[in-house]
Amino acid sequence: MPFEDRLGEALRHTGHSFELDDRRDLVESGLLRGRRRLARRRTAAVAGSVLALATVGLGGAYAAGLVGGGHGGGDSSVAGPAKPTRPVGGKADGAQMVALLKSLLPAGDVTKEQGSGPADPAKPANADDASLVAPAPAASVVFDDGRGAGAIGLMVNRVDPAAESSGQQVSCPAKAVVHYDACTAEKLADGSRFMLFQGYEYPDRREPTKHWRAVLLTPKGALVDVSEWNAPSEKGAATTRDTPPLTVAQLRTVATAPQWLTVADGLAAPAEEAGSGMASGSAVEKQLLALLPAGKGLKVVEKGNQDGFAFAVVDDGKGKSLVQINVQSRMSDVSPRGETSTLPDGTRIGLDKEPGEKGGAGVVQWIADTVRPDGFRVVVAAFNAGDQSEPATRTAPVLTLDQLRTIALDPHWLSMR
Amino acid sequence: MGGSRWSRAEEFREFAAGRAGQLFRSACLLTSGDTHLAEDLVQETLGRMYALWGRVARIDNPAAYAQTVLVRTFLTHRRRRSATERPLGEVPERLAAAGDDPALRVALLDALGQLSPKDRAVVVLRYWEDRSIEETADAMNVSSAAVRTRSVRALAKLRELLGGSLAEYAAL
Repeated sequence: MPFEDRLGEALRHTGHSFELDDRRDLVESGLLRGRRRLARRRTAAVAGSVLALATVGLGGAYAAGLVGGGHGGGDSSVAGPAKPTRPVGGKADGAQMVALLKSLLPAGDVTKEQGSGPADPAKPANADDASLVAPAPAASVVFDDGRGAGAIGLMVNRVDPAAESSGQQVSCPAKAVVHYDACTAEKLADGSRFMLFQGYEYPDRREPTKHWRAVLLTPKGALVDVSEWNAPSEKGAATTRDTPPLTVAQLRTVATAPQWLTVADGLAAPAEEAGSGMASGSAVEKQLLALLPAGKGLKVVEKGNQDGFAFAVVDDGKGKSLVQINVQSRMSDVSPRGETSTLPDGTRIGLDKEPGEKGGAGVVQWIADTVRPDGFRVVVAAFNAGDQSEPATRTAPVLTLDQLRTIALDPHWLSMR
Repeated sequence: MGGSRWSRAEEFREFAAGRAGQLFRSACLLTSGDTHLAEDLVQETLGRMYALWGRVARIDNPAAYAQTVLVRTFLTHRRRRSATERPLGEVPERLAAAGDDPALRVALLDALGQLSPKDRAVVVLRYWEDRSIEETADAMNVSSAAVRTRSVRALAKLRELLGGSLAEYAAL
């Protein structure tokens, strides 16, 4: 018997000698980690990435690979050479979405056309649901004006114009949280809100890909979200040019084209927000500000929030310090790091001093991580910089570990469980 | 909303319960018998699968995809934990429970433990999961040539460490 076959046999014997002690426990732990992963992803939408895309509920269109990449292309209808037509009765299909987008682009080569729309066959919703839904109207192409190919992606949605999460889509992110070159947010004559963002695919610029984005939110709740990159795909492709292919003015023209409003009209009005099961961001922010120690002459110079997350940049006269907080449920599998202790009621506490996570020179974060017996978790971190991707501005964060611990253990948080 | 979320979790539980045993066995081979690390890897793999579940359900073969996620999790995991790696040759714990001839299993796991994590991943994918060179390359995000090189190197090393005992083993 050749050595490979003997090896295969030995591997099978040995592999099958391992039996799981408790399969159910392992499955439940895996499920818990998956839920945490989803919750973290939502937090990361503010803390790490560009904007709160995920909260709109169609972020999956990008995530599923509609833009560039090529992965997942199989479930998007590929547009044929359709003429730009107005969607019948407002219900667009993928080919119409692509045709509409192409009709708004300047002269150039268009390739890698992908589109989807509510007139396409229903398919399973992305990450958060297994039931069938009509595909969201979206289109993506690779556009080349002769000076380098860049990906362009567009999505249309119907949202509650008054919802906090909708407003976040058209508000410039805080510089303390995300690095970018420029961002403007304005109100248009018809009452729509419009944001134009010029930043990076990776805010820490580990790759040089630029990401420009225009978002329009009308008073009726039509949301048009257009992005472009100076590379033929959102991630994982080398840049082909200095800036994305459309100028800021051209990007604006695409995002504010009235055709998209017709598409949005064809969408069902948004259901009541499903509720992420997380504490309201504005409530977390308010509570955090209220708990900052008085009498230290702290001035809040910047603040912001998203579901279950808030931050404040504070200055005591000796330099800016970023303070951020996460309030989360179902985190009983988290083990607080650093110097750990347990309160009589079973609350686990970890106090730790760690290097910053985003590469600013000399940045440290001091963390108080608290997990109540039911899995309710409050983590407060303070940095010795106003922005953790920039060099440290002071030797220590503005709050001591003890003060962070006091904030995290404050009974007011319990009302957000 | 609550209803569909529930069914998603239920559907996932069913999938996970069906796959956990096999994932665990693969993980034990990948970790050369470190059952604690193996359990951790399976949990992490299931966590990643759950986060992707809506999309994965449309993938042809979620079971095979889970094995791929496991190998990728293992490879990144090892990078993170390399400082605290288990010393080579330490006898794995739960093997005493195994049936016939534990000595040969210990020898095999010990030999696997002497391979680099990537070489071990190649061996597990090729000879435990019976994947082709191309499938192995795809799972590991490396070229087919790299898989061939690793295969040759890993087999030579295993032959050197196990040659004689595997002959006995096959005869059992």
